[in-house]
Amino acid sequence: MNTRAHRSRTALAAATVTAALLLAACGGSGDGASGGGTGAKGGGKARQGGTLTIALQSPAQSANPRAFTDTAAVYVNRQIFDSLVDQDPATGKILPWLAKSWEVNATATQFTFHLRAGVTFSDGTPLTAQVVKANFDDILANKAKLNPGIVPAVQALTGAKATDAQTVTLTFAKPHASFLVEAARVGLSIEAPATLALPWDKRVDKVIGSGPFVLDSFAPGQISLHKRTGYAWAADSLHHTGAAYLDKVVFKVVPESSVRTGSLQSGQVNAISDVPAADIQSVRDGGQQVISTPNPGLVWGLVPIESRNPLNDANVRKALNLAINRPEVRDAVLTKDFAVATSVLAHTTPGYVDLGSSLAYDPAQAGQLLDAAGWTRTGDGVRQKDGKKLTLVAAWFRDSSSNQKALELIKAQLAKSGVDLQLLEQTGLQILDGLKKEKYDFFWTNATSADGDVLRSSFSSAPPNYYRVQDQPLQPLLEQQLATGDPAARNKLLAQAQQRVVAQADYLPVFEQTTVLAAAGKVHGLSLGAGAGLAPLAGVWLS
Amino acid sequence: MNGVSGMPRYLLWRVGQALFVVWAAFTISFAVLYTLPSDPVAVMAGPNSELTPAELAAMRHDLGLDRPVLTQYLSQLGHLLRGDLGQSIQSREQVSHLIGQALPPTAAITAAGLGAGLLCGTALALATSLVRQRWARGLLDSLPPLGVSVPSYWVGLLLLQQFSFHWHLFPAIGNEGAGSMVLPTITLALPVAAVIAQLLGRSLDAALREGYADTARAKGVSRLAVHVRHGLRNAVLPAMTMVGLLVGGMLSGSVVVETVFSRDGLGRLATTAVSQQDLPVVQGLVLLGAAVFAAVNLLVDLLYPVIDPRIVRQ
Repeated sequence: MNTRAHRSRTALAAATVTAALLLAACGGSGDGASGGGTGAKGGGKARQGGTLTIALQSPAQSANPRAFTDTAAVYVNRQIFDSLVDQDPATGKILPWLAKSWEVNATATQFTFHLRAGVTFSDGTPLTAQVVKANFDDILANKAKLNPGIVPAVQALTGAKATDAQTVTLTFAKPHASFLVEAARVGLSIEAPATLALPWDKRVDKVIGSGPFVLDSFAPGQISLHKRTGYAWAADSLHHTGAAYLDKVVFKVVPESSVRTGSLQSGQVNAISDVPAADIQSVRDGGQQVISTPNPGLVWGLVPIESRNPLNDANVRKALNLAINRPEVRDAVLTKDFAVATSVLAHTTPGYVDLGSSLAYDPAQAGQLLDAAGWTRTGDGVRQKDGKKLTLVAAWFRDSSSNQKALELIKAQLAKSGVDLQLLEQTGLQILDGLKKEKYDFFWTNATSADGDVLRSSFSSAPPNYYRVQDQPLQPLLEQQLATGDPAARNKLLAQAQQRVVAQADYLPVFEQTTVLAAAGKVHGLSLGAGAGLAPLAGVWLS
Repeated sequence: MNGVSGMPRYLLWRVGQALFVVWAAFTISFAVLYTLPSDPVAVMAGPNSELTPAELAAMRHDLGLDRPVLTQYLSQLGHLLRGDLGQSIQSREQVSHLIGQALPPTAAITAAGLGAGLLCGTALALATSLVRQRWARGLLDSLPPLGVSVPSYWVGLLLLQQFSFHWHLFPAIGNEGAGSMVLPTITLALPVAAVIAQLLGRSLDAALREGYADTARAKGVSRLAVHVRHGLRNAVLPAMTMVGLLVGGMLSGSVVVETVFSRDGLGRLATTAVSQQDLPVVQGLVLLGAAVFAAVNLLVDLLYPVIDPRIVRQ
């Protein structure tokens, strides 16, 4: 589930490259629907018409939903394409969309979708089981060209079969319980036959979907969409029926965050993406709305590289976990829009359990654990064992504006417990290499994903195991959850896996990534979807 | 007589040099980009990737990255000679198409910035040399160093704050309309004007101390005419050489300006391509930069003999 995301990449930094992909981090593959948004119903009667202009941080590079899965691509393509199912951003529950119902077999290897009747693409062709099958055939035929973030979702897919005009069955070679969530993502949305008929390389600016908006023009810096008349199959979680209120949507690219904020405040755009934590208060003070949602998935935190001494000692890891004061990090570096981590997963992830009591700040106990492990205080305050200082290297990548400040504070907190944390800023490429060669003790990361399977992609000890995870008792839990079709049983396994990760300190969680948009007061109904991406704008209107 | 036979040879020699520069830029950028320990496929896949080695190999093969370096180099050079810059690794579009799309807006602000910068720089240099009051001259003299030392990033944000966010005179973002070009043009023109004013001012001073200036004055030519016709024409050569270099600087300046003003163009294309390790696009841009640089310098060289006929005779 590594959703690629290009969040606060400084525009000029050369090799920001990988980490965007690397950490899949924060952008998010948003889908679905309206969660914490701008009071859709609170603003009186919805008004028809108007153009909504949204400033994005980075350009959407293709309207092919399977080519890119970064923030910009997801925000734009979500308006053009519908998915088989929808995911409720508040509960994580799977809801009907293009499929009115579905069945999953007990081993999670077979998914049968019953399509909604009367759906058409914007060129007039009807949605049929054959079209859905053709979409998945096309995905399998172009596996090498798919965005790598999408590949895991279809890795084990063996094929699709249309059993009648409205029913299609997908079969997997091995259990794949996370598929429903993946099917709700933009990457697996359904394209029109006319788009599938184009060679892959041509599906950049002339794509056809069944969504609430139709692509008008696609240029790197500006993308225009117009309303699809007759649209009547909005995602369930939007609580909106019928066509969009807006006539047009225009996405512009504004890389500089201060220029985005200034453009919003001077009325040159109606909404902006990627508001840095440091700007949230000034946006609020300027009388604009702030729309935020915690990203589901792996929270921001430190991954210990467990193959390295001394982090191979679980007690040392546990001590470090106790020495981090999470609320202090949130209060000093971020805003109240960000939640303190209470598990390894964010609280909006399906299958999350609250383990906050195990993640309390307790420097006294941390000291006892370190003393017991043989790391004792010396003259300069840094602990030593066998003449070796307790110096640990944490590699990090500048993919979020808060990273550096958060890590500097954590460094100061650990120093109080006699641990010398060295911060090492790396480029994306250096990180890939450094992880392979086990150069670091810690790696600062997060990963946005609307499914608990992110635990497996992060902590599986199967190759390539970049984090050198050693925790063997954890592995069966990670495998079983993917093979469990029943959501309740699966959540139980995910809960056990989270307990195990926290108890063994296989991850030192700190705070939850939060996606923050801002909008002018006249924008109503703007919201973020289940993957923390922009929800379909069908229900958005301007007063 | 010499000038007639000398000119074609001079031309040929300079064109040959320009082509060599472009080839060298291609080769060096190829060597740097392709021998770096970077793997665009691994970059695309990321560390949590569940792609099998076979699938990664298939992606590499699909992109032609599995061939020996020399084969890749020769094949690219061959394509280049046919005008084919290859395909973007990320969007799979033709690089020449991507560059063709991005070129006009960058060319527009670069040309406008260069023109405005040259005009203002020349005017400032002339004004400084014409002004008689010591304090006024001191004031004008202090402007170029100031213009050279303020970073254009900061100038751009400052202009936006005042002229767009505060006074709503010009749009802050985008490429639409002439209004959107004003602030980027000023931002790009400022350092050009400063450098030109500094350089021209100095050589103008030197030219005006020459005997021919005194002769002109003695003949009763007006002060302005002495400065423009006799001073400026002789002082302009070093400034022209500088223009060749400034154009190169402006191409890199467009990265900053296009970021600050959210404009489409080569700068944005370059930023995106570099951040995604889209090597063919990066290489296409390097090549374009080298070609523009070589062409402008060639043009400057060819203009020398027009302004100063002594150059060809040498």
